[in-house]
Amino acid sequence: MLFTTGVFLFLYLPVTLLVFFASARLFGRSAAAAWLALASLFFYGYWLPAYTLLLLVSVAANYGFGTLILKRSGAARRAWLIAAVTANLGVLAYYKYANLLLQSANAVAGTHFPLLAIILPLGISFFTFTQIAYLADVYAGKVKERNPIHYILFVTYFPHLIAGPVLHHAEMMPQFGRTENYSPKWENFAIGLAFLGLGLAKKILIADSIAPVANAAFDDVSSLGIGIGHAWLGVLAYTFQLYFDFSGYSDMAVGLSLLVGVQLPYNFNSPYKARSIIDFWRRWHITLSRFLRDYLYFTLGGNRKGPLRRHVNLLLTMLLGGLWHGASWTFAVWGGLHGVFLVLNHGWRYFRDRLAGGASGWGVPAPLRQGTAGLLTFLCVVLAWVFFRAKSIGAAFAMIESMVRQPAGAHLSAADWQLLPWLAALLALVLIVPNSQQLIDGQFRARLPQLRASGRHREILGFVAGVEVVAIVMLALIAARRASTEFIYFNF
Amino acid sequence: MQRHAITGPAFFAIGVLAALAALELLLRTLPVCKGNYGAEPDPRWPAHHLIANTSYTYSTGWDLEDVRHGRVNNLGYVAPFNFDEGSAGVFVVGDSFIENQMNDYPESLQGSLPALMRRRMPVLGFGTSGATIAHDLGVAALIRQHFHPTWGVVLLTHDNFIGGFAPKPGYFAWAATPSPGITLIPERRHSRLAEWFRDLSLMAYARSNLRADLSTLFADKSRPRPDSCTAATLSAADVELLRYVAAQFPVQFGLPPSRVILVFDANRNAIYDASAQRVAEQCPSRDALALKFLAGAAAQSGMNVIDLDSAFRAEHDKSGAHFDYLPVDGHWNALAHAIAAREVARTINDRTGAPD
Repeated sequence: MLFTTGVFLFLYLPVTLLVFFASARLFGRSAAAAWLALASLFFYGYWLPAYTLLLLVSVAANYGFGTLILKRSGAARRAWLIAAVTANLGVLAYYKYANLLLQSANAVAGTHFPLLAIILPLGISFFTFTQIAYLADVYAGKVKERNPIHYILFVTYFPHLIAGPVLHHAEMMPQFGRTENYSPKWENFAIGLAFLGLGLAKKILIADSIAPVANAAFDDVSSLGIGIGHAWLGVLAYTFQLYFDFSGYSDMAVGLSLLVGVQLPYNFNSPYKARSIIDFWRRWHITLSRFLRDYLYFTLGGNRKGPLRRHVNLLLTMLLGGLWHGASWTFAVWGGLHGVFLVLNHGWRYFRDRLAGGASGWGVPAPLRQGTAGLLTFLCVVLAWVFFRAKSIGAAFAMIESMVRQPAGAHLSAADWQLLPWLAALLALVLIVPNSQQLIDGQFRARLPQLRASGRHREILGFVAGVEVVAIVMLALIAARRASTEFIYFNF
Repeated sequence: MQRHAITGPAFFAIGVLAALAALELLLRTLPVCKGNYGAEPDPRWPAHHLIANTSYTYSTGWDLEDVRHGRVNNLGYVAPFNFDEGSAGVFVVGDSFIENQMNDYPESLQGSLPALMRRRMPVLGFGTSGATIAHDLGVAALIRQHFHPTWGVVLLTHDNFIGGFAPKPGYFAWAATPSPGITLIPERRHSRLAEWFRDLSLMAYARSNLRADLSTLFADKSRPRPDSCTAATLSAADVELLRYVAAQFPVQFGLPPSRVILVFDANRNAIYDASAQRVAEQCPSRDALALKFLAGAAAQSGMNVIDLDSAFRAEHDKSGAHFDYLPVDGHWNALAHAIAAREVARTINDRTGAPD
C-alpha cells in the first residue's frame, strides 16, 4: 500500500486509527498494540499477501533467536548470534542477491545458470537489518524490554516497514509501552498531519513532477546519446527527485507515526547543505548511517586499529552500504565512491589539522571557503548519484561522458530551457529553506507549551488539523491521476 | 469535560471549511477549467452539448498547464463561429479529441481543414467529450436532420466502442432492444444545488484539472503487475454491432459511403515505446479489436478509412515528435491535428469530382 493513495489515506488510515484508539479504551493497551501489529501486517500483505508469511516467519524466528541468545552464555551465546545473523543474511541473499551472483558468474565464467524468478519482498532490507541490530543488542545485553507484541509491532510497524527509517528497538519499544500514546491527542494529530502533508507535497508536487526529466535523460543516454545540457538537467533533476522522494517518504512516516503518539527518528537534515562528505552522511539517511556505523563499521574495528585499517573499514562499510541498496554493481560503485570521498575527506582533515597546523582557511574569507566546500561536496554527491540511478555501469559512464562532452547538434530545446529556473528554485529550496523538522518542531511544536498555557490549544490545534486534512485530500487527488507514484526506496 | 470533547472536533470542522473557502478564493483568481458546462435538455438538439454562446477556460494538471480560452457557439459546440441551420459542408464528429479544448481552434482538425481542401467548404466540428461510436451515430443523424452535409468525418479513438455500453445522460448508447441499434439516454436537468457546485472553482479544479473521481482515487497502484496478459476476443454480438455501425454511418449522415471518412487514431504509446507495441500485439483489448474490425468493415462497405498509425509513425521516425500531452494528457496536440487534417484533406481532394 502506498502512502499517497486514497486506499491508504482515506480507508486504511482512518480505520486503523479508529480501531486502535477504540480498542485501547475498551480492551486495554495490549489489544490496541495487537491491533496495530495486525493492521501493519495487512498493510504489508496488501502488496503481495504471500510475503506476509515470510515477514511473520522472520519476526517469529528472530524473536526466538533473541530468546535463545538471551538464555545462553559464553560460546553458545555467540554461536546462536552467528547462526541468527547468518540465517537473516541468507534469506536476504536469496531474495535480493541470488540473481546478481548468478548473472555475475555467468558473465565472468561464461556459465549459463538460469536466473531465478524472484519478486523482491518489499522492505526486506529494512526489516532484516532492523532485526540483526536487535539480535546484536540482545547479545550485548542492551535489550531491556521483550514484550512479544511490542516486538512484532517494532518490526512490522506500518509507518516504517517498507522504506524505513531503520529503527532501533531501544527508541521504539518503550514508546509502545507508554499509556499516553493510546489516547488521541489534538497536538499529535496537528503535528503528525503537518509532517504527513509536507511529505506528500515533497513527493507529489516535486519528486513526481521532476521524475520525467530525470527518466528521459537516463533512458536516452545509452540509446540516443545526449548533450551536456541535457545530461546535467537529467542528473540534477534526479538529485532533487531522490531527495524529495525519500525525505518526503520519511516525513510521511514520521507524521503517520505521530498520529499514534510514537516519534520516529528523523532521517534527513538538509543533506545538500553539507559542506563535506562526512557532514553529508550525518544528514542523509541518518538512520542507515547510524546502523552502518554501529553494527558494521564498529564491528569491523572502526578507528581503533590504526589509520590504515580505519580507512579500509570505512571503504568496506560504504561498499556494503551501497550494496544494501540493491543487487547491482552500480550500487557497489556508488557506495565505493562515497567510501573514497570519505577517506579523502578524513585525509584532508588530517592534513589540515596536523600537517598544516590547523590552519583555518589560509586567509580565504569564510563565506567563500564554505561556499566552495559546499559546492565541491554537492558535485561529489551528484556525480555519485549517476551510478545510483544508471541501469548499468556502462550507462553511468555514458552519462558522465555526456556531462563533459558536447556532441554535434545536441542542443537544449525550448522546453529544456524552461526547466532551468525550476531547478534553480529547487536548489534554493534545499539550500535556503528550513527542513521539515526545523519548520514543524521549530515553528510549531516549540509553541505548544505556550498554547497549552493559553487554554485554547484544542481550538487552535483542531482548526490546524482541519486545514491540514484539506491539504492532504488535495494532494491525494493530485497523486491519484499519476500513472505511478512508487517511492524510489521501495526497491531497496 | 463535555465541552472539551466537542471543542476539538468543532474547530476541526471549522478548519476544514475555512481551508476550503480559502482554496476556492485562490482558485477563482487562477485559470482553472471553467465555463464548459453541459446545457439543460433541449428537444431540438437532444444530444449532450455545452451551454450555448459562452466562453470557457481550459487548463490541465494540478499546476494549470496549457491554458486555453475559447468560445462555445450557438449550438453548444466549441467553435469561434455559429453553426447556421441548413448549412452545407464537412461535418466532423467525435469525442473530446474533436471538441479540442486543449488546443486553439485554428490548430484543430476542423480548424485547419478548410485551408487544405482544394474546394473551399465550411467545416463544422461536433466534438463532445465522452462521446462513443454510438453517440457519433446519433449525432450524425441529428446533423442530417438540421444540416446538409457534403462530407461526414468521424474520428475514432480508444474505448469509443466499449464506451457505448456505459449509458450516460445526454449520450447515445448501444440499445438493448432493438439490437443492434442505438438509444438516447435523456439529458437530465441540473438542480440549483448542482449548478452551485458546478460553478465552484474548487469543484472545477478537482473534476477537470485533476480529473478526480472515486475510481482513480481508490485505484490500486501498489501491487506488482502480472507479467502475462490476456488477449481479448470479440463476441458474435460485438461483430453484429460493428457490421451495423459500418452500414449505418452513411445512412445516418444521409451520404453515400464514399462521402464518409472514418479516421482511426493510432496507439501512440506503441509508437513511442516498443514494449507497449509488444503488449498491443500480444494482448489486444476488446476495443482495439473492435476498431480494427470496424475499419475493415467500413472499407468493404465503400467508406474511406484513414488509419493514422502509419502517418504518426513516419513523423515520429523522422523527428521523434510526440502527438499528445502525455503523460499529463493523452489528447492530441496541434501536430497530431495537423497530420489528421492533412490526411482527411488528401482523401477529400482525391475524391472531389470523383463519381460517388
